[in-house]
Formats: sequence, structure tokens, C-alpha cells
Amino acid sequence: MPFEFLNVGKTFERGTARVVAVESLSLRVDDGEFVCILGPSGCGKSTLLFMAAGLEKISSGRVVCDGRDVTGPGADRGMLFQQFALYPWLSARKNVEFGLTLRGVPAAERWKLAKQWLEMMGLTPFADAYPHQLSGGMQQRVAIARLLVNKPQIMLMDEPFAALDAQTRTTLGEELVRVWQQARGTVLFVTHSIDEAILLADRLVIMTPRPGRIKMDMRIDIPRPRDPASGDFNALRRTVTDLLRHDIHSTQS
Amino acid sequence: MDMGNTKAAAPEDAGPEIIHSQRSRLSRIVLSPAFLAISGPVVLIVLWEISARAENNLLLPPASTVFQTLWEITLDGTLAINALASLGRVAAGFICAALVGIPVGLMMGYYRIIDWSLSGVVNGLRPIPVAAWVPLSIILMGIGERPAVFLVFLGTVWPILLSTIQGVRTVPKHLLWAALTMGATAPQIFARVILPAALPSILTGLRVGVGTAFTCVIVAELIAVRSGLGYLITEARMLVRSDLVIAGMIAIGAVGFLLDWVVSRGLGLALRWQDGLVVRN
Repeated sequence: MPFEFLNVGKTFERGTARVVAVESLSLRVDDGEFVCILGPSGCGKSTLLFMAAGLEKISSGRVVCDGRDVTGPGADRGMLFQQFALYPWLSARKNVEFGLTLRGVPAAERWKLAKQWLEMMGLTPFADAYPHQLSGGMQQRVAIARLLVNKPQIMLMDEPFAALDAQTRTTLGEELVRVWQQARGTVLFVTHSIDEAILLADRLVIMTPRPGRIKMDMRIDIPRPRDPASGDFNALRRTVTDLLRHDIHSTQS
Repeated sequence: MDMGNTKAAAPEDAGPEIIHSQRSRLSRIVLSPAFLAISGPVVLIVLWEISARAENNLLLPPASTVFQTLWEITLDGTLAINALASLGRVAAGFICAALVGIPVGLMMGYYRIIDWSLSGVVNGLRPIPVAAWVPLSIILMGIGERPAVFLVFLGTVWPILLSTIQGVRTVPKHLLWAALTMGATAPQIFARVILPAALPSILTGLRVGVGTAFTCVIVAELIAVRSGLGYLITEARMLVRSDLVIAGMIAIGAVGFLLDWVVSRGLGLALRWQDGLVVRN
């Protein structure tokens, strides 16, 4: 079942001022797709993701997941955050088990699944470490394992690599693609990094500055694994940069 | 304990420049933190002893008499019986305060409606000092255990309540979001996210609460009940036994110190996961 935004709008009220963050936006994400939403800061792309998660109220229109209207947060829409959002009082393993614990999965089963996903993310030696003992990249790996173990219908990722250094960002991006290909999930990934979007996405959705609308929706057919130094990659990077340049100027002025 | 003539007037060698390698062994001992910490009380006690003897003051007994009294009440069990009575009330009032303060604080911190509904009551009652509750407590409950425990509860519930609310309000939002997107229900959010995340703040409130509880129990025992360390010093005053009053005060200080020490140790163990996360001394 596809994941759909149908004429979605979001208006924030700040005192007497009304700010239209997203305006009548429609987008359909098919099963197994990796869709990146790219746009200048303040274009409402994170707002869109939070509405999809059910963490932000929808002002108008509908968000439909698995044939049902989204009215609040749920385990069918897992999320990855910029701040990792790991529980500092739980070990890496217990963090990964968190969602399973909530659903009452028996301890032995939890342990097995957590072990499997920790191994997949290269975290086996750090299973018993607490988040603050791990680097930022490691912490986000734990969060990815914690997300994947729950097998959500769609995985919503809100600039998950923004707080990491460039090197780690690239490595983690490649790993995310690898585990996504194995886990066969649907991903909606928000970023402001052109390179990251081209590296990761099957489909690239470019948003306009506020109020956020879709400016461009394109497939990326560059075969994986993608090389950021290749000709195809560079050509696409130039196209996308040109598309965004005008908007970035207009938001900054 | 013979406090007669200890080496109180140790040579004070406080030169401005400190060059450790050239210091003699003696001055290194004298300038050590432990020695300096002990020397303060020792000087005070010696001065007290000297002045009380010189004045031949009937109202202020010398230190030696007081320590002798303290030794006697320790031996005959008076101290233990009264200390246990006080600590029992502290425990009862404190547990009630925690059982009310923590859940109500969690609710007030998380749900704005509950906060708005209850903050008027809280802010109205909180500024009334516990001592001001004593007469009403006695009128309503008479003299005995109940007003004493009630007074301890009243004094203790506010710091616990306020630090719980504060703890909930400072839980990072993304920790809640993560749990919600993993399908957590409201009770699960409270039990598995808010409570552990707010725990450092709650435990700080409990620690402050234990201190307040001990203060309150002494206040309560001065009037509202006929046993405990507070009652011991009130009774001693009526018998004009100032040595017993001071011995009781020293005992109260010692019990308060031990109580705080035990609680801080307990807190340290409960917050082991914070090691390396926060600055600790």
C-alpha cells in the first residue's frame, strides 16, 4: 500500500501572525521506494515529515498510510532523528530492543532480533555500551538498528546525518542504502544536502521555499553503489544545484 | 571523650607562596585539607571549654560536660530510642510525600491542563511554612504521631513535587517522539521515558526532601508529640539541663548528617548511567 499526502497544508499561528509552512501538497510514496525530499531551510520539509509521523497536526488535507488516515503517531511509521534520540540510561542493545519491549515481545526473541540488527550495523562489540560512550556516528547506527528492528511500513528520516562530520555522513549514507536494500523498506528522507540526496534516493522531490510545495519530482537512475565523483553524479548535482540556487537566493533576501 | 588539651593551637604556616617540594613534612600535614577541616571544630570546642570554665557560667556548660552527657544518653539508650522515633516519622512522612509528589508532579509536568488546575493550590499552600501548620495540626489531630507525620509530609512534598515537575519539563522532546513513533502508549511513555529521564531531577528533589523532612520532624517534636530528638531537647529545656539541650543538638546534627550521607550514596548508585555524562565532583 502506498503512503500518500493528499492536498496537505500546515499553518502555524504565532500570536496574531499566521505562517503557511506547507500548502496543498500531494505526494505518493510507493512500497520499497527511497524518496528524498530536498529543499532550502524553512521550506516545511521537516514539518511534512512530522505530519507524516503524526507528531504534528495536519491543518488541511490528509495523510494516508496503509489505507488509513494518519491521526497520531504509531509504530507503523518509524522515525530517525537529527538528535539520534537514544535513551541515555539504556545500553545500545536495550535501545534497539525498546520498540519490541513496548509491544511485549518476549525477552529471548528481543535479544535475538537486537543481536541480529546490531550485527548488521557493525555494533556487536558495542552492544553493552551506553550512548554517551559512543561517537555520534555509532549512536546514529544504534538508532538505525532500533528503527529497522520494528519493521515499520515507512521509515521517516529527518536529516539524520546533519549532526555528523562529512566523512561519517558519507559512510553512514552508504550503510543506510545497504541495510535498506536488505530490509526492503520504504523510506522518506528529508535533507538539505544535494550530495546526500543524490547518493541515497530512488526519487528526488525538490520543494519550494515557504509555503512549501513540490517544485520538481524526479527519478534517479544512477546505478548503486553511487560514486559522487562519477560523470552522472556530477551532471545531476549541477542540475539540482541550478534548480535550488534561485530559491536559496530568494529565501536569503 | 577527653577534650581537655588537644593540640589546637597548631602552628599556622600560611605563607603566600606554596612550593610543595620545599615544605617540611609537618607543614604538609598541617596544610592538608583533612587537618584544616578538623582543626576548625577543635579550635571552637577548646574556646568554648575555656570560656565556659572562666566565666563559671551556669547557663552554658563547658564542652566536656556536654560530651559526657552525650556519652551517657548514648549508653543508656535514650539517644537511640528518640533518634529511632524521629527517623520513623521522617520515613513515614517522606514516603507519603514521595507517593503523592512524584505521580502528581509527573502529571503536572506533562499535562498542561492538570498543571493549570493544580498550580493555584500548590502556589497557595507552598509559601506557608511548616511551623505555621503546627497549631492547626494539633487542633485537628491532637498530640501524637499523626500530626508529626503530617507535618513532615507537608514540608517534604513541595520540593519533591517541584523537582519532579521540573524534571518532566526538561525531558528532551525527541525522546518522547522516538517512543511515540515506536507505538508507545501513555502509560509506557510515563514509565519508560519520562520517569527515567526525569529521575536525576526527582532524586535531587528526594534528597532535598529528606533534609526538609528532618527539619520538620524536629519542629513537630518541639510541640506536637512527646518523643523524638526534638522532644528530647524541649524536655531538657524545661528541666533547665542546658548540657542535655546541647548534647541533643549535636545528636540531631549527627543524625541529619548521616541521613544525608546515606541518601546521597543511594542517589549515586541510582544514577550510575550518568557517569561520564555529567560533571561530578
